[in-house]
Amino acid sequence: MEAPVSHPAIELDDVVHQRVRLGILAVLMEADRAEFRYLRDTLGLSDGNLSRHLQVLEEAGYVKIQKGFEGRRPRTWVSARKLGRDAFNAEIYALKVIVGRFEQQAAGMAIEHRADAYRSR
Amino acid sequence: MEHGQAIVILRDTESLRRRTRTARRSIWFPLVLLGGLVMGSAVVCSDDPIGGGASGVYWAIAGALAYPATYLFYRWRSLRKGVSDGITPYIAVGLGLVALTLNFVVGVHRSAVAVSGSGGTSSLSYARIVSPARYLLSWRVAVAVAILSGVFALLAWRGGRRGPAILAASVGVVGILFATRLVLPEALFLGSSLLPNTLPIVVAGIALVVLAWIERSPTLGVTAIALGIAGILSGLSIIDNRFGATRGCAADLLGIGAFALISGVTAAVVEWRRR
Repeated sequence: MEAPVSHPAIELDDVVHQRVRLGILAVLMEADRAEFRYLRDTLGLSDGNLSRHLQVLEEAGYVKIQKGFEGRRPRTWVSARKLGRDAFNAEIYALKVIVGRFEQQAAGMAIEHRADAYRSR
Repeated sequence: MEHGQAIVILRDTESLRRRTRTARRSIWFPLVLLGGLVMGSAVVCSDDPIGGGASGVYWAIAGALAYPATYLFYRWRSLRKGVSDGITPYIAVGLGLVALTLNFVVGVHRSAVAVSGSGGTSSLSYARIVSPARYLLSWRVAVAVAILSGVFALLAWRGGRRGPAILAASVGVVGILFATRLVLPEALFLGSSLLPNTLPIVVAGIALVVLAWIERSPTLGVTAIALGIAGILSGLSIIDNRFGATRGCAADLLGIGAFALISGVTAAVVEWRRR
């Protein structure tokens, strides 16, 4: 009896898989750190919505949040931790596996279809 | 999860990453600054292979000011854009190379003392280099770099940037060690006599390669390597005249500086258009 093959979707991390949180990590993968305002504007979110997602990521240990002042203006900087970078890379890998698997299946079906057409001649 | 959904997520993620890269990446300022400094060094350069004392002092001061200025530029930019680079390795490598340049300056004077003391035929030409006032100037430059590093470290620490602050403090300590003549004796003088006037361009090129790696910019990497090669060729031609060059060091430095300046301005225009 063959061992059951696990679907790559099982590998997806619930914390990172959520689209906004994946977007936050995508931004942070490209920058040393990003300001709250930049994340809000880039992802098109409200302050409250972004705060909630950042809280989830921070509790998971995926991001670091630093609050401070630059002159008189309060600034909140967010940066990705190693755990967050690893989780993001794992998520992207899992998504690519899903896409790759479908493309393989589609290619296999096309070959079978062509073989059937050849046999029926 | 369906594959179509996965494709859309992957595409959106890549688009976000590209957008952030564009907002974050900036390479024009270090190139323009280097171009200006190289062109400025044409005023103090010397065609005499061992007469580069003034050029060494110029580069020690310029380097000690240029890297903190670059750090402040990137900090200002990150506040304006909302995304920042981790340029600490670039600043660290750059300041470390400034410390080495500083040793070259001290080395020139020490080596000259040794030569003139041996009663060689060129003792008169060396005398202008080893005058106590010039030696003292080098010593003061070492102290100046230590003080500048201290100020930079303090500013960085207050800004919550622990990494650059610690690195700047380290460079300051090295500066003090140089000033008090506790480390690295004449051995490193070799580098200064190998490439008079253009050694700082080569070391700035090395630091720019680090920045190119941080910014993931092949364009900056190629420009930095081209600058380094130009610096080596120019320095060698002055020593051996092996390329049959009849021009002085100023012409070379103006050419190399103009190349860096034009590269920087071109990068600025490209960045401005991409916004």
